[in-house]
Amino acid sequence: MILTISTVLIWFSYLLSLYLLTFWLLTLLDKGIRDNPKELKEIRSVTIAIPSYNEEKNIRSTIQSALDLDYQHDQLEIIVINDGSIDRTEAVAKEVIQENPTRNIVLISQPNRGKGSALNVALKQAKGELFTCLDADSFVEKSALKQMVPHFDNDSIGVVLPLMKVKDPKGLLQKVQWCEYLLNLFYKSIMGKIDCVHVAPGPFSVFRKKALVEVNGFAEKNLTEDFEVTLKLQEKNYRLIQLLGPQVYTIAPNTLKGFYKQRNRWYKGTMQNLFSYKRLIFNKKYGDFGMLQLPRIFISGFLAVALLILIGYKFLLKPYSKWVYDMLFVRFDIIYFFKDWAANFMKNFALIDLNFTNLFFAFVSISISLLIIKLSFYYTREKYQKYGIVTIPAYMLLYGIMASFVWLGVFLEMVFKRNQKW
Amino acid sequence: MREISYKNYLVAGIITLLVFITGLMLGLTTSDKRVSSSEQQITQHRLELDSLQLQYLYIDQQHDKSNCGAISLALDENVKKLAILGDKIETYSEDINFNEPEFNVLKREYTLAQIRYWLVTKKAKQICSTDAVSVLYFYSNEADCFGCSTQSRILTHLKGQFKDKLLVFSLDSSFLQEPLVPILRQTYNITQFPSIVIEDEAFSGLVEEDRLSSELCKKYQVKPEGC
Repeated sequence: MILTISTVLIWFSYLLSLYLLTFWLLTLLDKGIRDNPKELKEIRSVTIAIPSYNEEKNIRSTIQSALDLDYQHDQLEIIVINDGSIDRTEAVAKEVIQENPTRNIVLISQPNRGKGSALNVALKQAKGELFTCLDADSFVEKSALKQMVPHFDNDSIGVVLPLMKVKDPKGLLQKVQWCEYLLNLFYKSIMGKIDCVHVAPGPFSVFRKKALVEVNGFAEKNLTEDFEVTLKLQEKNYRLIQLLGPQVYTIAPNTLKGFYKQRNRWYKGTMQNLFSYKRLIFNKKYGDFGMLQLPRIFISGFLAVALLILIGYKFLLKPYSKWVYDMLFVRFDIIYFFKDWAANFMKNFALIDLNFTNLFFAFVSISISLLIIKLSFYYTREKYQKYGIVTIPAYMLLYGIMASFVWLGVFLEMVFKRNQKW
Repeated sequence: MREISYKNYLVAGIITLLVFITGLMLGLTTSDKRVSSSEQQITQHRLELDSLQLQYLYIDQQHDKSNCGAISLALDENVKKLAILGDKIETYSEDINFNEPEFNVLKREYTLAQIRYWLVTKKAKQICSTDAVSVLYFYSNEADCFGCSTQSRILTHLKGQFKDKLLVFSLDSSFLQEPLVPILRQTYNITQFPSIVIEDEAFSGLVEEDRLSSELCKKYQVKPEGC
């Protein structure tokens, strides 16, 4: 029975992925991708919130990154929220304020209540027409605001998102994430064309403050308040635009444990919010966002777990454990069996032994994947070998497996009702 | 009301369907070729068998055993080739495009060829007094036969050791389309899998390598290397 289920599941997943990739490429052909740079004709005041918790090492550089932005100083307000830090975050922030007496920097200290609460405190205090957040582990390009603000040329525009890249990836794990971010942001820019951006991530997504206030700001007890606020804005039919021009850099986890912890929170938060906002799923009122994007997110987690378990069992665990078991009965004479296999292969291999159906599907998948990687790197202005030749193959081989393991953890924790702290 | 990209949904669906159909068609074409290739090989085996049977008959009539060695080597080579063909047919059957009726016909022909070779081997032993031991191996493809793959591995390993002195004929006992298989099972009172019949002596359940080797060695007149 497991054979039948796994076969059906693999075919379904393959066809669904192929369908979605085709749809994605069609949207790209249909709508194009490049948003022509717009000139900053109308200056809008901007508030930058910097929520920080025990960030004594990064807070100076983060505030400095905001101060260095190429934007009219009197239109820029910076609010640092010290969210109950027990290190020198507050002291360092005060030093920076003293060093920049002419700049509009406000420091608010509160007991630790989490990022959502910190952002809401800043939102209440904010005087800017636009509101953005800069995490303490993120760094923004100087011209970012100048490139982003002109896109608020229509009242329906709720959020404008920059191109987020991984800052100076060192190990293989960070390089894989660097690749993932490029593809993901390219994907979001296409989905943005049909109003399907599903998350406005923390680092430097610029919100129209009026829209944020209209949806009551950020959820304070939510694992992914950025996803939740996006759902609320989508529900109010605000548009989100993903740009590929302005850049913001973020530090990606460099250990598997860190990666797992971060993604576990993201995925779990995603599932919780999807359940809370299930009224949007398959709801024609929300166009492609309701009919395609949300169901895709919902189903991808389930498929990742099911495929991981079934493929892991059918193609890895079951055959290889049995192989090891059987080999124990022949004194693990690997050399004999290898020679026997090689001799048989050389003597008896015929072209028709190949599974042409699977080979064709693999060829189609790999071709589309390579095309998408090529387009992603082109539009995000990156070079394939910037961080070594292994980066792209490592991403293609490892990322799916890594993400599936996180999904598996999320499902297990949800089943066993383990609570997660932010 | 927000926009829904109906046109792109439809076009994406058509393209996906076309890719899927193309893949299946490619597989179907290959599948046809696989069936005809397997049939061709089985026909070839039939010819080889007829030839071997005639050769043994001729030797028997002429009482001239000088060619026995060469014929025995040819028999061993053919049995090995047939086993490989059997493996291929099993692998093909896992393919989505390989339909069951075709598989059943091929598998039945393969099973009959195995039995024919086994009978020829027995006859060869009488005529040529060859010092080769034949093993009839009953396995099952059903999931409950945990020891079958282990027994197969042990037999393959021993075949490497005894070479043309050991001839193994594998019969899928879960394959009920060929009535001769249940008859053979009944003859040797085979009720569980794996089971093996060495010459005419049946052993039920997994027979480990040392024991199997020692049972085989008992059957040789001149002990080969490894006994």
